[in-house]
Amino acid sequence: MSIGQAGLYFFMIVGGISATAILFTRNIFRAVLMLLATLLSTAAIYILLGAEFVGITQILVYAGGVVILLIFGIMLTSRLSNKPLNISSHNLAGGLIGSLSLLALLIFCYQDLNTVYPSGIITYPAIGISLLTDFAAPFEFSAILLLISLAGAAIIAATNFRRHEP
Amino acid sequence: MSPDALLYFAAWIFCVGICLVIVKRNTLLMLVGTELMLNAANVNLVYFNSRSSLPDGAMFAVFVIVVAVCEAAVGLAIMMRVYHFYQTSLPDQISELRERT
Amino acid sequence: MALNFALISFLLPLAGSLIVTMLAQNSRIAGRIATLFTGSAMISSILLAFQSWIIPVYAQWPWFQTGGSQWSVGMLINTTSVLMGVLVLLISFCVHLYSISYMKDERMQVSYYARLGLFTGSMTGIVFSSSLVQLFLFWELVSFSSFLLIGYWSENPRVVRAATSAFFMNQIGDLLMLSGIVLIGIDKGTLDLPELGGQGTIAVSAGLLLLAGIMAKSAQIPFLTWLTNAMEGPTPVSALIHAATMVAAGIYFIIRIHTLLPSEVLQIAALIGSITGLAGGLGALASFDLKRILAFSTISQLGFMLLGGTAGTPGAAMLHLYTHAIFKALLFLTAGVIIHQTNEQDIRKIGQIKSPLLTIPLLMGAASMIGLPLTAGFISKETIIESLHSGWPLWSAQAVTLLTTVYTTRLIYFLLAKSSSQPTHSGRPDAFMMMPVAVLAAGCLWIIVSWSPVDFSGSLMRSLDQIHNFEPGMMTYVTLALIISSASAAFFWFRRQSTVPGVNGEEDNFGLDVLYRNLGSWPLMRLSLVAEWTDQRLINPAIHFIAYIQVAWALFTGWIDKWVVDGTITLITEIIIVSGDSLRMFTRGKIQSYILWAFLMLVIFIIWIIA
Repeated sequence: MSIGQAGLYFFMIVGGISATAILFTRNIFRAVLMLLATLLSTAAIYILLGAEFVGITQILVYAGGVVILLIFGIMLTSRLSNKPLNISSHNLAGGLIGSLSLLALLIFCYQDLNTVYPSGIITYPAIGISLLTDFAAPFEFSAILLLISLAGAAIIAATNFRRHEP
Repeated sequence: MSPDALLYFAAWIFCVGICLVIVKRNTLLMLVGTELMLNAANVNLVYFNSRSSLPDGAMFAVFVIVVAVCEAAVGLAIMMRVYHFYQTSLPDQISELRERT
Repeated sequence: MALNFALISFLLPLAGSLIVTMLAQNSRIAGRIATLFTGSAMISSILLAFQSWIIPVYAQWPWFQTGGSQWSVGMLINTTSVLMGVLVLLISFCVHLYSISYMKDERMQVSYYARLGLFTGSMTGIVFSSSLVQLFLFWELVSFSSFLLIGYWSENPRVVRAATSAFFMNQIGDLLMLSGIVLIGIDKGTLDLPELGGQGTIAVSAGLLLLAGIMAKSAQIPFLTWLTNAMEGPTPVSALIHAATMVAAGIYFIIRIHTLLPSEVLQIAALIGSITGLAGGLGALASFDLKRILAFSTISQLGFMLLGGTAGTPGAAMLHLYTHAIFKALLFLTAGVIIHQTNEQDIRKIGQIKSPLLTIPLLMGAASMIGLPLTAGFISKETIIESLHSGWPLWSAQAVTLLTTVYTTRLIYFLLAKSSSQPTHSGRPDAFMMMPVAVLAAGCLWIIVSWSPVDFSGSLMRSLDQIHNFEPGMMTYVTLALIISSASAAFFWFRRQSTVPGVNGEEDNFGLDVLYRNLGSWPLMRLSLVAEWTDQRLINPAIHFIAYIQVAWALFTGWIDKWVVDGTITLITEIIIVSGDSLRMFTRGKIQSYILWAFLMLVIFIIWIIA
């Protein structure tokens, strides 16, 4: 077993365990930290799989952006209400049935999957070239989408609506 | 190793994500579940892309990450807004459209 | 024509009663209207008498049908009934006239005259009835209206008790009589008097039952208490009911059905009549109350009539009924005037009566009652005695005559001769009172019976059954001698003594009141004890048992209601609620539920695709 393989397994186990821990933790802050662990181990898996660019983007965007955003969200909402955040669960049976049935379905589907050990590493120049050639339109669209959504998020969060009186 | 382990890993992550979305009462954790599901999809994309030399799967993963960021940003903004508006972060209690009983 | 007169004389008093009740607001007018109606009825009956004195009229109309039997109402008009009808209406008219003055200070005059009219009409109904059922109907009506009349002063509890006792006694008799009538109806199949007359005598039992009714009505020995108690009523009422008409109805009835009765019943009736006659005479001798003396005298005379009517000839009894009604009504009305003027009923306290307006009627009535010659009473009494040929009836009749003489002498002595310390409250009685008294006093003369004072044959009563051939005989002179000697003996006795030794204290009706009270109360006490025991031991547990069953059943049904009926409904509603809720679950506005269901559908969809 190579180091790469061992790393893959290690990060898979870490990611799985931390993702599962999100489900069971009672602390929402700790849940977000678990999410961060999962995202980072996923990034490591990307790198180990040869997709360094994706992995680094993952680290930058998720670990650096989304998780920070979430933490800010937690802090803001808990500050606003002055009460502990409700992280209790409901629909437990439904959730378990749904997710486990999907898991079973996927595992059933993976049984007869012919897999080849992956080969080749995607280099940055190739990515850059393909981004500006084959994927130029999606790239621009995603840029516009990102712009619009960020601006929209800012507007939505900032505009001072009056509370609705029922 | 059996490469299928990664698929199982992704499936597991996805299931945890869907479970979070369905089960947790906090809007924030629902967002977390969404992120997990997107990540699981990304893992699959990157894993299948690693068998070919073309970067299409990686590109797709990058765009997914971008969209996920957009989603997280807008979702959090909406969550804050809703929180201001209803003084709660529980989706159960946000039922304006429901018939009053 | 005769029928019309009979119907008119029967219906007019009733119509007068009705009209008085409905129209007369003023008491003064009520009396005059009622008098007018009764007077018209009297005139009608006199016309009827001229029409059908000799020729009997009989008419009947179908009344109702039970099974195959046809019952009819009818009118049987013969000499007896015409005489009785004229008598009833004459006395009633006199009493009406008298009441205008006598009752003028009373409050409920309208109802008084209505009752009087009802009574007169019912009595006339009895007189003319041809069917026993019809007769019984009026018989009951007479009982009822006499109850009303006796109880006229209903504020007084004694009056109420007297009225109730009279009604009760009469009811006993009426019930017995009704059963007798029913027996006859079963036995003979008809109740019409003319048809019955063709079928021979009735059964002894039925006859005895009829006799019981007659005894109650005519106040014979076991029933005599009601008549003396009934003196609590107004005096005109006493004159009408308890001297002339109602109590005479029994005698009239027995005269009418005389041919139907078997000889055993007649003998028993004669025995009872003689006992009653003696008892009534003794009672009169012992009493000091003016009205009670007259009441006892009435009882005595009724017993005498019953004796004469059953042991002798009914025509003689009818004749005495006729004369007795007149002189007894006269005595009652005169007594009413005395009581009205002095407010006193005790003959020891009334004092000497000096006004000839009162003494003459009193003497006339007394003479007629004793049976002195030249009076109507002489002829009728001697006729009865003549008709009793021999044996114990004759001797008891003589004894009654003796007693009658003695107590009448005593009464007259007390009222007219005995000087009293208290002055009488004299005042001139008015015309309304004196007119009837005068008419009745005139009726005490021999002339209303026979043209000749000593000969029964030249008689107005010639056509009455079986008496036209009576002549004054040996017994007449014996009786006359007896009467005169006893009267003078009594006069001298009562100059020194006020009572006769041995017959003192008959104020309580020979103890019969006490006896009846005890007879009534002892079984009633036993009965009430038995009833109480039954109530406590039998009925109460039974009721409790039923109640427990009821409660248990109620609990059971309650349980059924709660758990089965309600349960079914609750189950249905629960099912509906649950199904509604489960349907609502998809639209509850819970985002995560939506997600779950959508996701599950997706999974199922994928499974379906793969499979």
